[in-house]
Amino acid sequence: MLKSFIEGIGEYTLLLGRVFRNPGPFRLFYKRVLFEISVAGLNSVFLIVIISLFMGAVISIQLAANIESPLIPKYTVGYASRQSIIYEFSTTVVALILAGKVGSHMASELGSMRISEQIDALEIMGVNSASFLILPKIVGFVFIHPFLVLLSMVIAIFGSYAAVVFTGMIPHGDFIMGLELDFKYFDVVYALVKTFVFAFLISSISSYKGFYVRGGASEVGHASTQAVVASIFSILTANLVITMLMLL
Amino acid sequence: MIQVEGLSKSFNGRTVLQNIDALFEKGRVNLVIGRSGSGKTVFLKCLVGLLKPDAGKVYFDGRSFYDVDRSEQQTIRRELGKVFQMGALFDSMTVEENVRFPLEMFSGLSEKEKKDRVQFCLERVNLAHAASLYPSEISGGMRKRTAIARAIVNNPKYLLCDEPNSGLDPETAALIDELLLNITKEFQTTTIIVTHDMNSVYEIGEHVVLLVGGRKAWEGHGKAIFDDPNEALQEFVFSSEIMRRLRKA
Ligand SMILES: Nc1ncnc2c1ncn2[C@@H]1O[C@H](COP(=O)(O)OP(=O)(O)O)[C@@H](O)[C@H]1O
Ligand SMILES: [Mg+2]
Repeated sequence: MLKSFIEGIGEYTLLLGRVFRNPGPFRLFYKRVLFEISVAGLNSVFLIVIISLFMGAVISIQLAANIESPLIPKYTVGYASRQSIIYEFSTTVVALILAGKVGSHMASELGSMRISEQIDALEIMGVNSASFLILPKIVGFVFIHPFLVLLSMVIAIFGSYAAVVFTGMIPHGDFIMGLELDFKYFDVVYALVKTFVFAFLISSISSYKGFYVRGGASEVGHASTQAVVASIFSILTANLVITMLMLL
Repeated sequence: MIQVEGLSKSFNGRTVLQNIDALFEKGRVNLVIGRSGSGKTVFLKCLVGLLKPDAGKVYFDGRSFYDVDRSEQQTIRRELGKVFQMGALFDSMTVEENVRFPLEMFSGLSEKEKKDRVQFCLERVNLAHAASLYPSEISGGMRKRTAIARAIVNNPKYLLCDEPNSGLDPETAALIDELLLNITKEFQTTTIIVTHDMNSVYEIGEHVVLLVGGRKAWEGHGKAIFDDPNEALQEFVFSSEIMRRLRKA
């Protein structure tokens, strides 16, 4: 178990070494990056919007419902919603959700290319298949993921606002005051760092899982599940490490 | 010319190829035949590093594939076209884009030259009408022909084909054989075709290597298969009922 884990890390590192090397003509590379951006990014917009809207609403309602003491000012709801959304929801939770959606897609796409010998066909042409196939996925997703996260932040904050202000639980002025209270740009930097790291982890780990599939259709399914599980664990670990490094 | 010396390969202790020597000359249709599971695909993959042999050497016009560095291996691979058993077409690309792909990656050709070359190859395999279709939209025979067009688009010196006509009706199969023979003569490629089709052996096999149980059991000309007394050969040739009946008749 531990041995295969360590071997896996080794194989993953070696693969990354091959990925960051000549991906072929720039014109083709550029086209593939755009394609990956649309597959991984634009196709996730709807999901992100819906989830962020609902989660934002739930976060602020829970906060508002639990603050009953008159000693705690009402603007706390706006403040706390903002913090949970920027700190954890839009960065970590959205990354976990995309690990499921984007990660499984990347792994199964590469896995089926492997078992149908398309990757061998690239190799035999003298193409560096690892970088040709995987680099555009990593570049595309690392590029688009911050925009998805930003979108999620905006929508989730709107959701949290709408849920408590339109229902009259918190006055408009208090909520906005809370939103603006003690706003630090460092928080955005922290969120962005997480965003880049998570995007890299999801795309590279899922690609790795798909790239080395052996066998048939059922192994492709297995690899895609593994891609999601491994991405999630790596996100949780990285989240802890980054938080300790940046916030302590 | 491709020369193979002492090629051996086993998987988890099970020997699939055992000490195979063979010489495949240029401008000649070389066939590797044998039963399903006799190691033909493994043999072909061992020639070009898709599987790593346990022992043995493979020379491409004198260059030993497993002794040269990675960039020289890439060079050899770019001089080579391979038709995979299942076609291995890129399913996100159309027939035309598949054929065009090797040119996009490596050739310094202009847009017009690429277009002409792709058109030429598609016509060569009779697929000009299907250029804009995706692999999932065409028949098995068309997929094989697309794979052949993709394999020859770069003017390869070496052409490797894994069962290019299996699973096709006899007429289409014969057309593909003829196509491969013509390409070999026209472009003087070193062609190695893996097959278990007796018709191909007889019609186009100029040099045939029979694999039995991972060893080379016989080699010779395709036209000799009925008369040569070699036991392994006779057993293979007359393994089907129809061939036995033909022999009696
Ligand atoms: N990657 C592999 N791992 C383990 N065994 C393999 C592998 N590839 C092929 N084999 C085994 O090698 C033998 C020869 O296979 P193959 O070359 O595909 O036969 P064929 O002559 O039908 O093309 C088979 O018994 C097969 O099970
Ligand atoms: Mg085979």
